[in-house]
Amino acid sequence: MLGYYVIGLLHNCNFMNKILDGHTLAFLRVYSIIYLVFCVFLVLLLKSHHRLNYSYIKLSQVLTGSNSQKITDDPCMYSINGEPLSFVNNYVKVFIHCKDRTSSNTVALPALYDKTVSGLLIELGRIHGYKVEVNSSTIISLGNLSTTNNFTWYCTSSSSDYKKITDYSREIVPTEIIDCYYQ
Amino acid sequence: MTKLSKYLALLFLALIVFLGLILRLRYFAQVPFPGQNVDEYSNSWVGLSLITLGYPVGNSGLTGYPFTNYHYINVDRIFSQGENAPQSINYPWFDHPPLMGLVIGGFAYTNEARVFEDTTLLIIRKPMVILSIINIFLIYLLGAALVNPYLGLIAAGIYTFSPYAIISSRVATAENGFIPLILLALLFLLKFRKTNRLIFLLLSAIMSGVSVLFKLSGVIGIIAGGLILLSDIRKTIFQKVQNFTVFAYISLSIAALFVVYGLAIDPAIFKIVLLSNANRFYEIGPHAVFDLLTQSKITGTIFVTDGWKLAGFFSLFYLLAKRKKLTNVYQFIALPIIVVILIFIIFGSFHFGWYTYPLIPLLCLAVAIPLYRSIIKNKDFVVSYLLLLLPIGKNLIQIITITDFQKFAGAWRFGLLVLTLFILLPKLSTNEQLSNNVVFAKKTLILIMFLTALLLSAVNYYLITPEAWYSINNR
Repeated sequence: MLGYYVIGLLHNCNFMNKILDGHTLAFLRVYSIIYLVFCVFLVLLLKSHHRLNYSYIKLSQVLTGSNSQKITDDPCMYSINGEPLSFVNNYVKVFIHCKDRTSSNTVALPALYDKTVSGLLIELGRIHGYKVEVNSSTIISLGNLSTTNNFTWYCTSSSSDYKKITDYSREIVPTEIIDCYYQ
Repeated sequence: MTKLSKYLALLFLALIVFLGLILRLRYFAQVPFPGQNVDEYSNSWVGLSLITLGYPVGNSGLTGYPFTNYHYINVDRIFSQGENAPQSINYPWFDHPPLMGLVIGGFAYTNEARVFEDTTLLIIRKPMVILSIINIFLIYLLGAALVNPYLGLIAAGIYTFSPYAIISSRVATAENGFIPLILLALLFLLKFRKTNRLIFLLLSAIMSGVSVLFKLSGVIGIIAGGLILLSDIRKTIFQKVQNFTVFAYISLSIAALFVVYGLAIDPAIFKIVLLSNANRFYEIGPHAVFDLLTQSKITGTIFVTDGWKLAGFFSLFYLLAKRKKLTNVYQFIALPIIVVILIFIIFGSFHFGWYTYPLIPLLCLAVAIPLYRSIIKNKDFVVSYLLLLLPIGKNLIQIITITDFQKFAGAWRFGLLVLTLFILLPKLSTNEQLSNNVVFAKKTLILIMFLTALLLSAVNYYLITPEAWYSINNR
């Protein structure tokens, strides 16, 4: 509709005839037709490209997929520093204590898809690039540090007076502090 | 200009470009730090998602979106370097037109990036380094076409060695995407003015329209181009209006492709986001122009001050004062600078340094004018002398601390006294030989000062390492 109007304007408008000479007017008419054809092509291209390529699964992969060069074995090497100021009272603090260092993390809860303790640990592993194996009752491994006969992972929570967490499938309490030890 | 002079100019240009490439490749992925401008990643995500999903997905903060998803996308391990809040992911993303995203996201895709975490600065800043080198050429060409190849060399030299220009030009923002297009648009418009061939007008219009597809503030090209066409004193009113109409029609129709794109993907959200964009918090405030003149921001909080930007603004006033004598220079340098300032005031929201990046190449050209008139035309020595004190002094104090400088303070004061009096020296003798010698000495002084300013700029830039970047604002 708009294109038809524009072409009509260029063809019939006396005002246009006064400010543009014949050659220029003819050029703009041709340009307008090519432009409108291009617009139609662009719309069809965008819609078909979206229809052929978009899916929620693909979107999730693009958003949460990890860079292949980011892999690490050490769960205590990296931290999420600072405070997410815009998430007032809607975060959880996680400290991963290894033998010689600690990873300190403040994680905004709206960014967690699985808002359980195990979900939090898995997400932390995804963010930093290490493997996490955890079930509902225990942490099997974080990175290359696995539960063995001599060493084991356990976590405590400020929401239960820093007692050991026994159920990793429980929901996270906002502002709670979770400390995980490898001892 | 003789053939030898032209070849000499090209030789110097090749040297400048070579040195420019070396300077620009130094720490390009580490300074500014990853995460200091999340828009860099967001731009690449928009492009990558458009290519892989047919849907623009990016980081936003606008309230117009019906929902926001938060994700920790730990590209370049930014969460271990200070960035602490998860990204606010919106889709379809309509904060800005998609062309910048397609350029750097497309480049990342060709480098096997398939997920957002793959779009590291090592990849996405590479096209910006290339564009920065292209800018050196375009500044030279514009200066050469406006006046003389030596003007082009002076302007290109400033852009090549200015730390502010080097560091700002590597940041993967939309402004750095459309700067070459603005320069090309001005170049084609100048060619049109000289040859009256319609093809150059069309090319200028296309470049101006396409710059809007990088960011809406790219409308600088359309406004500046329109004003330049209407200011051509050698054309009749009918010709001016005709040229303006053709230019505006083509450039605006190309710019309108952003609307076509938005309506094709999601008309409802596109309209809401467009309106929401217009209601951003106006943090720059009424003191925007003052801050623009006195600050050289790279990001939201980091400054790199080297004196060239302020010298550029003073040169702008010089060009305005000489606009009747230097008509082309006024129209093709001063007018676009004023348009950029206008767009900054109207479109500006938060105090981000990248909103002012389009000024940089134009200010380099502005500074080059009085310097060229001094070094080549033997005029305006006092203006050039005072302008060059800005980058010399500012870069020197970044290199040597004020305490260490004290041992040179006496020599500095005495030297400046002698040089200033010499520059101010009026013609006291009727002896032509003596007068010519004095003029030659003044012009040599300006040339030495200019080369000193470039050298100090390069040394200052070389001191900006990732370790030094932490304390950059305290230098």
